Amino acid sequence: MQTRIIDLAELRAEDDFPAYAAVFSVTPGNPFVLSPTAMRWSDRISLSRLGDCKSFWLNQKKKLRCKLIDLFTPLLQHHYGEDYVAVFGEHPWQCLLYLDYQLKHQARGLYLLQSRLNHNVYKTLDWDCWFGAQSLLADHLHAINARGFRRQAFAARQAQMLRFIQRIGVAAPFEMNAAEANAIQRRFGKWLGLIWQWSFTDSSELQFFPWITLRQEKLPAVARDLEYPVNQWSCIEVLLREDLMRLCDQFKRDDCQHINRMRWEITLFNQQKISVELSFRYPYSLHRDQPGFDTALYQARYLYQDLISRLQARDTDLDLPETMPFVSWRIEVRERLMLAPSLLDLFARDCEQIDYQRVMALQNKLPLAFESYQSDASFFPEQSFSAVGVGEFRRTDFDHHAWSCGASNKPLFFYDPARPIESPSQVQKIFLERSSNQWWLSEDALQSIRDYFILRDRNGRSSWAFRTRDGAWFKQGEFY
Amino acid sequence: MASLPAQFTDSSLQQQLQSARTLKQQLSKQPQALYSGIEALDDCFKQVRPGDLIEWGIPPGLNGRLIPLQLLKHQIPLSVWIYHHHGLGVFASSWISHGVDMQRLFFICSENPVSELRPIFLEDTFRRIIIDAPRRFSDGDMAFVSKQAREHGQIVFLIRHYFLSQKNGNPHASLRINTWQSGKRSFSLQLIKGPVSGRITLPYRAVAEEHGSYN
Repeated sequence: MQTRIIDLAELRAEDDFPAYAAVFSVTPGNPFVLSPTAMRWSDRISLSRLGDCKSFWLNQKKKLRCKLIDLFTPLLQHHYGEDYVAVFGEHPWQCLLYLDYQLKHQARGLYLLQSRLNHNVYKTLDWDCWFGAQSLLADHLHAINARGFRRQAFAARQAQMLRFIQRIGVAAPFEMNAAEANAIQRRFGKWLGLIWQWSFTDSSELQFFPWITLRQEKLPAVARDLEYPVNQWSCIEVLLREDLMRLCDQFKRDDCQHINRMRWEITLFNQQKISVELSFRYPYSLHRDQPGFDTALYQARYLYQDLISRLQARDTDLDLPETMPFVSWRIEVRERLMLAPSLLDLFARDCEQIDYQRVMALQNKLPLAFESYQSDASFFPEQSFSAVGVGEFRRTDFDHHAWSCGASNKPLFFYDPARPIESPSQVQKIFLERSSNQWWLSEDALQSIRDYFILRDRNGRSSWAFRTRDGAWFKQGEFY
Repeated sequence: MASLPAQFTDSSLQQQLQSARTLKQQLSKQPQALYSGIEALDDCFKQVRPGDLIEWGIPPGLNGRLIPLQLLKHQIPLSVWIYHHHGLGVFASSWISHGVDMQRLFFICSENPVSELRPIFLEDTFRRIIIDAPRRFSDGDMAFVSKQAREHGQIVFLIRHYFLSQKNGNPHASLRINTWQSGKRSFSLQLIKGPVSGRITLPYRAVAEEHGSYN
């Protein structure tokens, strides 16, 4: 009999990515480690809105083929040491509540509220824990002068609710989670009603949770006023390299800092200001790219070439220099990420000895992305494969050969979508196959039928085409 | 001019002869850089070494790209296929069905590869670079690509969308070959430049799986 091991740390649903995280650390750490959107809850506790970079983290998880807990643990250890407690959950209040519980039990490490184990423990939290966590919330609401919040009135409502609970003899909040937030609000006031709602919500909406976004410290920027106007890339490149070095110095040689986007604001000879954006496909470490800064300079060069050609097209009939010179510029970092070197080492890990890190670094220098593919389980040509990112995890849960072997007599390059053609005449038609993939999805099942042919002309040139049920012909590919 | 190997700095003729024999033995011990598993094809590429540029003449419609593909099937290093075919994209299922390792072969679309994708040629990330029918590829580009290939030990395939002839030579290419599917049952290779010349015919089944009477 097949046995199945139940992993208690496993998330209940595959797409159950936590929206928020609460992190307690003894030593003050960077609150922007997990997300650029963070909040300072207390001296030692910070909240992060993970939803803002959900796709990034999911992508990393996919690439590293690991669980969320294995992705975040080394990262948090790097930034906060061993002495931290982090709770990831759907709502900031749930994270804070569970964090308070774990701190009382002197626990350390990372807890995902969506995991089976933690979810079950969360359900057992008692009233002491529920009311206890509210003291920090009350301090916070008082400090921000929250509308309609009065500390004494809130304490009186808490006492009233406590008496009610003792009277009805319910041991834990989860035992009466069927009670609606509106009912609690009517009986015990607005704030206890909201806390009740936050405690059991499955939504990542804040629902009036007093979130105050922590401002990021000023992002690095450098400005340059030129002595003479310059318009040649060879001159601009040298000056830009110097500026990137100055920008790098502002990062204080922190190896964790990675840039996603930079803004290059250029003032032209006619005093027009133009802003262009240097964006990187993968988080870019300026620090690691010094002293050449090849990646940033390649991206800047593509922008320069594009800008100059646009300006030339615009000013073609004006009496202006053919290549508009620059008189000053400013470069500022617009978005950055803190990535622990250990995480980068994981990126660099060879997957079957393929150094994807090098391919990613090279891709950052190119104006286009590389195309990489994997096969999918479908007989339909357009759906028989899919594009995957460089180094992304590829599906191995089906026999690729079984699905792709039918394509060995098909061309290497194809049209997507197929191109309509006249009914072919004076060519040799070699019938290949009849396909009616996913006929159950279309209203008229017969319409999904396609007859595939190789069309060979008198010169021996071949193409791949199909005929639909109603006699229309489409060219699907060329035998290049 | 390329510098002389250290062995040939020996003064006496006899020593030079001995050195030449040793060098030949060393070269013959090196594993074949391009390997397809098809004996007749492997014989043509026996002499190919990292740093070589191979020029292919493959007009569209003749299915000739299946021949260079044979050399990308067995334990290939990281490789990139730079293509530019009007409106056509990569039909990955066909590549997979021919046994190409799609984890190691990347694609990128460019009509002017040397100008647009310069960083690819300045690094040795990819050990095989296939430049498929570029729209713009000057003699200067050719010289640059072959110099970079020698420097980084890469093998470059330059695929032309026309048949090559001896009338217009290419000093940068170590091997020049025309390939096409001839009829339903075979592929042909015409060696224009290389250690041997002439025409080779490969049975269709050696190159691709046969599907009854389809081909």
